[in-house]
Amino acid sequence: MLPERERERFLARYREALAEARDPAGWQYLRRALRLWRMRAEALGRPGFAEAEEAALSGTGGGMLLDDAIRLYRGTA
Amino acid sequence: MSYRPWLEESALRQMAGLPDEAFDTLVRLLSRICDDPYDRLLSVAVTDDGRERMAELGDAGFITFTVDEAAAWAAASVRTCPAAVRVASGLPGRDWRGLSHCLVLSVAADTPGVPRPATAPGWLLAKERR
Repeated sequence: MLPERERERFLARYREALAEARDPAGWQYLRRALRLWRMRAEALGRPGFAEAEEAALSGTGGGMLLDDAIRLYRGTA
Repeated sequence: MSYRPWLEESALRQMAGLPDEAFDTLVRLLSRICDDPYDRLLSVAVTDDGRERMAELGDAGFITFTVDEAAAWAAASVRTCPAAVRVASGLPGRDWRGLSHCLVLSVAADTPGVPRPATAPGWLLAKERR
């Protein structure tokens, strides 16, 4: 079950998507939104996910550009 | 405005354990996010303002990311400075299919002609500028 704040967010986004679902693009968006919210609900139910997400938003420090990470892990120039 | 993906240390540690398939999928997804973080064909909104969003990572998981356009930058007359996109992820680490780990990323905006500090993630730069 989603936490209260997340539940409110989901209902708001669901209603928005549902209102736009009469055209094909809106219907695809609604389906995508429902899939993603299902996965989000599952993730939020796992220990550590909410804390890690919060940490991401508040920031933790250093790192590198993706291009550099690719070179590091793949050994490509 | 263009964007470049920036990976935080915690993300880099977890990326070392990602299978090649997962790594490739992540790279492709981040590339598309950087093209347009608000693309409705790619991501869906989480928050009312649409800045916190989620995107599917193939059939294996998803990422959530926050777009911080840093309106204060414009107010401070630093319009040429990059905005920032921060990405928090529900990616699994060792268990790619299980959503059991989190990968923490950030995607830093990059404005052509504006040098980007080599040591600071984009979002940290944005916070300092505020």
